[in-house]
Amino acid sequence: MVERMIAGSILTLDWGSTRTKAFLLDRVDGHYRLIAAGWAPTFGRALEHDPLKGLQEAVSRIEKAVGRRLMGGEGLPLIPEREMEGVDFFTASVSFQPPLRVMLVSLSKISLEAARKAISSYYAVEAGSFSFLEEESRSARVERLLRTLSENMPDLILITGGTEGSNPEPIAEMARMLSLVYPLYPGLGKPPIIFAGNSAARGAVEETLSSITELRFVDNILPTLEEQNIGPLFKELEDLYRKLKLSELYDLGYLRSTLSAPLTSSLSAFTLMIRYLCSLYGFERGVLGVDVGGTYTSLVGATKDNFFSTVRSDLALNRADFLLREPERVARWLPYETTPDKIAEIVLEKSLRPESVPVTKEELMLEGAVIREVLREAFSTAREAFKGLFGPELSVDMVVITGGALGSFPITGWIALTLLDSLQLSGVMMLAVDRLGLCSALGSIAPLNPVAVSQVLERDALIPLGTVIAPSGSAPEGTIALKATISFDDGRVLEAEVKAGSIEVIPLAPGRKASLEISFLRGMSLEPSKKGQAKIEARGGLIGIVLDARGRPLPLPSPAQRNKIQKWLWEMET
Amino acid sequence: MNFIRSVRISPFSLIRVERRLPFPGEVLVRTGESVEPQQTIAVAEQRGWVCLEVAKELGVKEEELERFLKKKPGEKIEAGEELASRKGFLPFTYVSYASPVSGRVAAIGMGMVILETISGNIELKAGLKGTVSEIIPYYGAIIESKGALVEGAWSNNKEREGIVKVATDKDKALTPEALQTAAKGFVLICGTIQDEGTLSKAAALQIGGIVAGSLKATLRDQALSMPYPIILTEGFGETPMNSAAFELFRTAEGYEVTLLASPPSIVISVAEDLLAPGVTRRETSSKVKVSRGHYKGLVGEPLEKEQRELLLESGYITPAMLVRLENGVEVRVPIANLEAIES
Repeated sequence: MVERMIAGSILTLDWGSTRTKAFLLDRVDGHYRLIAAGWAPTFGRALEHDPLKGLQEAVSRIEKAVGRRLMGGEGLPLIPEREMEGVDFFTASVSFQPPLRVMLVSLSKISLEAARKAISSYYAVEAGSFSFLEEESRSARVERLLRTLSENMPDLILITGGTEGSNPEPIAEMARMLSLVYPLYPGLGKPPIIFAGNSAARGAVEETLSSITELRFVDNILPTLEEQNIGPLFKELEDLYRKLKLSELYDLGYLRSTLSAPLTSSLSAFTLMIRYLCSLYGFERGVLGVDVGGTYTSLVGATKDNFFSTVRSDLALNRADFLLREPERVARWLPYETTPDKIAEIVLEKSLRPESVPVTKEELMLEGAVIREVLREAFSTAREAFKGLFGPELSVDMVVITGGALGSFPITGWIALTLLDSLQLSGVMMLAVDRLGLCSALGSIAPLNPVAVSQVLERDALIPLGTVIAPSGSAPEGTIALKATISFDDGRVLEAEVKAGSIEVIPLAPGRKASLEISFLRGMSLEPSKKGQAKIEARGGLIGIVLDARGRPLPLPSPAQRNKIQKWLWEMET
Repeated sequence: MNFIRSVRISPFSLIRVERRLPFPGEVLVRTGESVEPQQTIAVAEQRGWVCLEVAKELGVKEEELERFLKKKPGEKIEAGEELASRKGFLPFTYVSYASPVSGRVAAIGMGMVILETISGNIELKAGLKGTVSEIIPYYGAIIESKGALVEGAWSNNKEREGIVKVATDKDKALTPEALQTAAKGFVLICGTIQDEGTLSKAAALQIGGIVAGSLKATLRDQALSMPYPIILTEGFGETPMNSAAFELFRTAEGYEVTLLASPPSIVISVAEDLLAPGVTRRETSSKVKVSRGHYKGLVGEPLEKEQRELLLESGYITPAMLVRLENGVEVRVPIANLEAIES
């Protein structure tokens, strides 16, 4: 991965759809540290779609903070550093460009579903789908394929179908059909084609399609009916995203000559960071990254051997239209009564002015309730895949939260509560928040200077929130669900009892540790196979130790249970 | 003024609007050409395809089909015209295949012929009176014009022209009763829209469009289905129209106006400054508009150049600006909840 090592000051950006965040990193006492950060809205106004303005403003805020000129006359970073001016290196991750529009051409409905899941792992949306094995005449099939192609105008075409060892002939026939209709594509460009189906059909596919457009091959995404393999396709989609969506940005001013490393997608950079964290700490169960941004929501899971990601470009705090039809989903997370109109208003207003901030606590709770449902929706479609990665109990070692919507929430405890309410993870897990949105920006530096990445990631990017202990199961509300003896590293000992249906927070500052001996009662357990007692080592954070005895699956509250929501919010208001 | 989101509410300015077809077609205008709002500036053919299994019909092998075809790729064919034929050894074994539709031979392969049919044209209108300043090859053009401009926050994706008519005060809801006097083709200016009866009655009266401060949020889907354009200057809820835009519309009553969908904007055709005729505007406005919170929709003037951090009740600590609002209140507003008014 390491192509070349660099040493010197680094200006790095996370160029988001709502905000542009700029970070200046430099060496302090031999270690890389975050020196200053600045942000600005990426686009000041709708009619001038010029992301350089957001870049310039964000960097100028750093200039003011450090009293050093970083930009040259062209409005781009001054490189290299010279006499208290400029920086040595400049990198950026980008998420404001639209997602890849992928047309799915699949043999059967099973392979079509596999393709849908596979593209949801990347910053891509479905732009039409075609399944070959439908009951119809050949001519009707050709017309349907042509209609799908011309109506959707995709950026690329993904062909899938056939498990390994199956008959390749139907795929060859499908490829011939595609080659017949492809020249009639009404757009100006020539969408490339990725083949991710039965490898036995590669020869036929190459013979038929290689002369009409750029053709790429990746491993079969569905080698067997039980197994899905999306890693190679993820890499190919990232490569095409760079080529089709990011390459046009190099023509902005002198950006091409200023960048020290290729632009990368924020998703790819964040994925890299989550995988890196998992290997850095040698976690057994894995790390989950949660990014609720301005225009998309992504979840990235990594274990020591594998990773999985899901991206929903249709879901974010600013893209929550689905809740207009089901406002009760938002209302159930609120401790006060509200109307469907008020809920619809916040959902729609946020889509118009994503950078606006809630003024009152009620507005904040409303935004938090919307985020819960956005995250629940995003996670629901990928739950089975994450169970495959983390096990049926969805138990992880660490969760990292980032993104402008959730990561910057002003009440730290509510970040954790929102996460627990929506994803319903169980077990023992550390939580950390990337408040500044530094993770993705660091990911763009990784190919140049992994040392700087690791030093800044641990010291400045991730703020520990503490340790959550969330048993599975259920118990009658109000009865004692768990008893804990907490031995702090300063010698203090505390006994705690937590009733079923409630949450207790035990303060434990960042850097501190505590040992817990917990007895689970009344149907609660950390793992179904290990009922009874558990010994846990907890690490501190801004919140401390969270004993979540609400059970899993979490009984979703009804609007009539507002007192319960209020109690959870109070307990976690840290 | 520090970098904040901005919105144009201008009595006279240069307006540049990009007009684009959804897919490539033919651009019908040239740079420098004058255009009218209803003038077609680009056109694209709406194509359909019919796939014919000719080899199967003739009883020939797929790979041999081209030998039997009477038309080549690119050639036109009429409905009923012979597309292919096969002679047997005897006269009565002659097999003819006539095209069921008119079109053009688009592709031949796999024993099939794909005919392209033209089902209609998509016409792209100029949208406003002005001059073509730039051609977007195959897709459209950028039209430049001069006039008064109000940028909105949301539109229902419809476009039309009409005559400005102020229907209510800036903070009043447009009601079905108020629509009694509205005439067909007028663009109605109002404070808010709060009931569905107003939207449907306006459709029945064939009004030209509505520009409102805000719309009750749960009426959004109905607003999207209306046949006439709706533009909101503030957004959703019960926020009145901001006074800067409302005053401009009041002055423009009786003028011709164009409602554009994306970005939502209202262009008023005037040859000189609407608020100060004969005067060349020199200074840029330093006014701002509150876009969220208790004072939403109110216009004010910043009292300090520097922003200061403000702790909000929600817990956010955010850069804020001290603003004197039009109602006399002086208040510090987060810059994220402000829009600079560009005039």
